[in-house]
Amino acid sequence: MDDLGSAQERAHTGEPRFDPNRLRGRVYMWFDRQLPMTEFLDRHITAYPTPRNLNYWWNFGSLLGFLLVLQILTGFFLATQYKGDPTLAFESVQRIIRDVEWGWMIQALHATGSSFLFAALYIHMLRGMAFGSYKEPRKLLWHLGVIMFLLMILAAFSGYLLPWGQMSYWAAQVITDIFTAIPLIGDELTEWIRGGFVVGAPTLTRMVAIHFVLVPIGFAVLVLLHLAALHRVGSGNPTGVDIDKKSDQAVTFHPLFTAKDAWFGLAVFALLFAFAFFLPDFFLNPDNWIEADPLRTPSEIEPEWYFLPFFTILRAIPNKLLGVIALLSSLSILFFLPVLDRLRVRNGMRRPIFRWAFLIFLIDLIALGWIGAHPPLGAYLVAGLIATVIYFLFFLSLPLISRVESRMIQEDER
Amino acid sequence: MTRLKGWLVGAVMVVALFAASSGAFAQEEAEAPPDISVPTDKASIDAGRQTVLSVCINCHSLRYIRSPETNRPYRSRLDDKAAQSAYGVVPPDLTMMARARPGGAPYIYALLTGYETDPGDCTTAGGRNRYFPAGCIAMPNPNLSEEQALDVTAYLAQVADPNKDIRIRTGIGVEIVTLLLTGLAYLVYRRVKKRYKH
Repeated sequence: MDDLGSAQERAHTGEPRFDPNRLRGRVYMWFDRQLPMTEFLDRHITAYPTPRNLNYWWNFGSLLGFLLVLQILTGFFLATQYKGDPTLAFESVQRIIRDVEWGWMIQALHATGSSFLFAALYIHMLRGMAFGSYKEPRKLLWHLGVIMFLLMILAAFSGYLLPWGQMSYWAAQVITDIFTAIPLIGDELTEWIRGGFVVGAPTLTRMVAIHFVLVPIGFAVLVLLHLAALHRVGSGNPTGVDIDKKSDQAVTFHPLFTAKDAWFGLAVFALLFAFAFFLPDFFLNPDNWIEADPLRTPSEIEPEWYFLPFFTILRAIPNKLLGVIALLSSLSILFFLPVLDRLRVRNGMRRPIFRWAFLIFLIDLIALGWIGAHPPLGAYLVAGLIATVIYFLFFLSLPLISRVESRMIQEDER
Repeated sequence: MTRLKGWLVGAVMVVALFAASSGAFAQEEAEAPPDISVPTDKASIDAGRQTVLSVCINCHSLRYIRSPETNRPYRSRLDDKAAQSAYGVVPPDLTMMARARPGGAPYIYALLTGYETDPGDCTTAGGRNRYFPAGCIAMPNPNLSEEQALDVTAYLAQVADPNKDIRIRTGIGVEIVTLLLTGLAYLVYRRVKKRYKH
């Protein structure tokens, strides 16, 4: 193994990096003459200057990358056997599970992978919120991340329709019905989105197109942009004070963080495999093992666990249009986080008011998820409304919180 | 101190996610099915298959599996229209039934043995069943013995999860390899990390 920092030094000296007398050296040189290969790898992986004090909350970004690769690989093999037509879709999934060699495994990994992807994404986003990763100079990085979150929602929604189970069908019916709430054009817009009056063959075909083409290409582009933006400004760190990249606060990404990401990624995959192989139905709604029947509504239409908090917000206000506005606001408000919170202190744990507000926000998220699993009646309706108000109150109180905290800091300094 | 708080907040995050997810699985039930162990022996499964193909098939289909004799999906002997007019519902397909209900395979056993004398408040053909969420069930009592009900459950569990054995065997192998690699990678990480201490 190279000495510490040698990759970085190599990057800065002009001397030949490879031994021209050895085959490996010649291969590298052949590529480097025509492609900035080692330069690129050095800059973005091996010699990328990384804060040495990153804790495990900083592992979830690379983990998301690994999980995305798992989804793309398993997704490719599923796509070779899946049939995107309402009369064939459910049966083709049954064929994958029953007849296709290792199909049951690919299917279980893809389905379990989506839940892990969302869990990792939520942790990654909450880490960003807790440690102020959305602040200057990483605002664009945060915005790109929020766009990826929205793309992930589209990925999950389009992918969930494909097995054409009862919950696939009725969840799609309920969610596309949201658009009817829009005044004047609502009905036409909904019909246009579904490709018919109700969810049907055209809806499935377009979800296939979205899931197989738009989603992977979208992720490829956005992941590259997200990483490019990250590497332009450099990674933040738990202290909230950016490191001096030339000092010993920075280390090269390899070998410390390649080793850290590798072991942590493997550990999470061990957990993922445990679910996929031993509890393949754990994250699934049993109703989705029943083929879609447009004439029979399931007793309860419920989204997957990762959408429950937002489902509660949608149903909190017993008025369709207001509910839809609340749902869209709850997602788009994330985009405005850098504007709402203007305090320059990044580490939220060091902020006297923010840390309590954030704790309440976390508890509120649990509550929203828990309420979402119950019909919006009686106490659940009231609780859902309160939890929704707290959700928005957290974001909307940030300008005030940051102003008060800024004053406290000024007084301390005096 | 900050480190500790970081972990505390982290712990809350994880709890939040799990609590949010566990809510998704809580289902209100008529009565929880009794905790039975579903037989996995060939004799039980074969006996269950016999019962399913002589009794259940009169009304239910198993359209996602094929008969080894005819290589055709098992169709029910009752057509949908007749079923609708006789029972008010089309009997559900049984292929995935053991995974398509919140109670899983034990629910099938519970339902088959859960018929009660109807005090007369049910208008459905099957009367009262204490494990059926709606209380009144359309399916008439098939009058199976407890053993037959258990065998049917065993067969339907096998049909709904045909790869269970290989799934678990593969899973154990995959876990051994992944955990071994995790351990090795962790040792590598510890060793690398030591070089940064000064």
